[in-house]
Amino acid sequence: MSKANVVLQLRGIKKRFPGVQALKGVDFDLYENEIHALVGENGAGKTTLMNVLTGVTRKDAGEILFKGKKIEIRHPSQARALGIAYVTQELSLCENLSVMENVVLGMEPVSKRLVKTIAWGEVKRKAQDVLAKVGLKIDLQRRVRELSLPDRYKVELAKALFIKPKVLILDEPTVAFSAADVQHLFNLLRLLRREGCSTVFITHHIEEVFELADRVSVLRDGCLVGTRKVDSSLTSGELIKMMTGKESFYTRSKGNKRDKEILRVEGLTTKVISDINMNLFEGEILGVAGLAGAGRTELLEALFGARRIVKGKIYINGKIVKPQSPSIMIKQKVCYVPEDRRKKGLFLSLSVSRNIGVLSMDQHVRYGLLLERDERRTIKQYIDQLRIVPPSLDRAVALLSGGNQQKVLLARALKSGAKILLLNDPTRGIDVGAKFELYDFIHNLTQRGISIILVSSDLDELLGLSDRIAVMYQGRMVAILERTEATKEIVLRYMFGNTEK
Amino acid sequence: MIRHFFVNRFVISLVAVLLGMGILTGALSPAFRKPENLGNLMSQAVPLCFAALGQTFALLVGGVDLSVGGLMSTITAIGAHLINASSGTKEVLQWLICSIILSILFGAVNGTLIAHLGLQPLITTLCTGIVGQGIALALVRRPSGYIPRSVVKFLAYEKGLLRLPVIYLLISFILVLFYLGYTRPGRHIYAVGGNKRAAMVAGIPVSSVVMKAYILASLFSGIGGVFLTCRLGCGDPTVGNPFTLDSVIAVLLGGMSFAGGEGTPVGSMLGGLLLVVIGNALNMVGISPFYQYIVKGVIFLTAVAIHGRQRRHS
Repeated sequence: MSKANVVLQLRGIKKRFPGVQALKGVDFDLYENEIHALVGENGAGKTTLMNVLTGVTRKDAGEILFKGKKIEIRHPSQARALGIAYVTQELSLCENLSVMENVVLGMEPVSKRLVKTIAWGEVKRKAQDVLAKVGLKIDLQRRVRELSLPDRYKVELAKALFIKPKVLILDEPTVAFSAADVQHLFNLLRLLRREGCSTVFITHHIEEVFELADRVSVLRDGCLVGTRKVDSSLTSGELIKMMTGKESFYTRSKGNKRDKEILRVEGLTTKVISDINMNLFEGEILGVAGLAGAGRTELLEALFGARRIVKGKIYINGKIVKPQSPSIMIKQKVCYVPEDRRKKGLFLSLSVSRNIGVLSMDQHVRYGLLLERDERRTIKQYIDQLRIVPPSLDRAVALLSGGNQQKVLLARALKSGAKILLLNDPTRGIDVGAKFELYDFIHNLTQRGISIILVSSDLDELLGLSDRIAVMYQGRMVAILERTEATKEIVLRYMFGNTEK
Repeated sequence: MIRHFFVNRFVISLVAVLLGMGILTGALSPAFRKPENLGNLMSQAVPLCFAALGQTFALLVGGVDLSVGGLMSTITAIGAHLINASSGTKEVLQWLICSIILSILFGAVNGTLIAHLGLQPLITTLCTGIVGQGIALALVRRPSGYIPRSVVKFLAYEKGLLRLPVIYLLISFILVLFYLGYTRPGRHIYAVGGNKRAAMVAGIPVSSVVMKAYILASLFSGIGGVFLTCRLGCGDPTVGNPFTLDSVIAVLLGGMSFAGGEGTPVGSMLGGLLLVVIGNALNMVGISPFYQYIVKGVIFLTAVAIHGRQRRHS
């Protein structure tokens, strides 16, 4: 294609977040009248790239050309004014306002009288038009608060179409949709393509790429792996290889003997997950794979007593246990390390020692008083053992890097004497060096007889660390694979709900 | 748009409660039924209803204005300072202009600190309110001065059931209804209260909307202060104090929420009216003012609890 047909060009985009280089100089072209899929594993940088493009986050380096002209977008509303509409995963709707007001928000048509009032008739007509396009038949006066999630998404989509965009960016739009809604969306995007609107389509579903896209770009670890035309020469296997990259980069040496079953779960059901059956042996690492929303976090939180269990039995060392609250499970020597350490795990303003000691203060209490010197001595041992940097007890944990914060959480769990560790995406947002250090440490734990259930969005990590890999899809456990039989392709197939061998 | 201002469960239940209270108290106390008392009730409600209109703007953008009382007290104090028995319309106009400028100034200070410097509305307006209280005390130490009715006639003329302040209140109320229901800046106040991020992405200047809301909040409570002064006939450095919390309670009764973006001016007016009617009714059935606080507190708690429940269930 000639240069004239390129509507949008991104050149050498770089973005660094604390502790991680999210984009390492990405180039990206968008042609006129094309649907361009953007794929990659979690954390590859897809959303960050689009955030940079639309002014949600500032880039560190690189340039953006729109219709051949260099532009600097500092604010999302500037992108909108240029005709770049962005529908993010978290919707930005005013739930207290009506459907039609949300659609026209910020661009309400006004009457041309002396006192400029909102022309509600025109609002209604225009909102109705775009809502019909996205296939939402609904009372325009309904509050957004009363709508279901898919309907809200459609309102957000209508809001994007209202500005008659040249470029439409959709971040995983099909997650909330039923099959019929997905087809409607695809037809809409094809119609827009004819009308001269290009779409960037972030997705996790390989089959959607083949069904819809003209071209596909693959990101991995903040780099563009390549951009390919979608035609018969491209196979899904190739695409998955591009997404996941080289073969397993971390392999542990020891196999697990599996002589003592420490945890058994039968028919575990909550609001989100249903009928989970699994077991865990002493010193084993059980990896749990699945797409975002497959129920992995729910599973760990249910095992930790942080979710309401509808049905099912849980045995620890052969004895039945009712996980009604986290404190009950901590007494059973189960400990959970959440994925969002800053929100769910750490007391950010408190010191490293308070964060590590919080679960196990009882160990150092005599006559109702805390023996602080005794506690600090023990905590210091954990700091040294985990190589937390800087090795200070009194530093506020907010000042530590992501990797060291993760170590603080691990230290807390270990000091509480946990025998079963539930790790949720422990290496998310951590740089590579710290990652490998954590891998070694996790591996060492198993040799001390600690069993681990590891949830991770990083398949390489799961394949490298786990003895067995369980795969979840839409709240169910669709497979439990031995490490020897699990390859990336097989796991991915299960992750996407394809259960035929 | 405005239809839903009038037809919502808060407004309907408030009207029902008001009617119920009116009938009940009317049955218990013949004095309550008298036309003089009804006129009195309306004039009594004016300052609080103005303050509640102001408070509406602050709560709509997810904040609160606790400087209401300090501002109102200051305005009565300035009135006592500028006006005396021999004053004419000129002095009254001076006072009015002074009051309006001062109100806008209060709102602008609140707005700047909250919208541009990101301070907490609660603490910010509490502090500016204390400053207002200080100014009032510096001007008059105790209830003093004399502001004759005849001088402030064009503000506070009363004859039978014709009460000029009530008419000013109704005009302001209609303007607010129109502003919040039919104009872009008005709807943007709702949008900002509902979801600041969404408003920002849509290109709405969030900070200046918040600023505007606080200026309007102070302006209306300031006007409430003017009518309060006319009713009192003198300056009193602490007379505004109860209006701070009463205005907040009035708008909460009217269906607003501290989260912002909820509630309507109709609800706020009715909430203000209800507070005044409760006070008046308790007087009329002979409950001592000292016990009225207890009754009021319990009634508000009940109302807030019921509203909270309804909100959770919807």
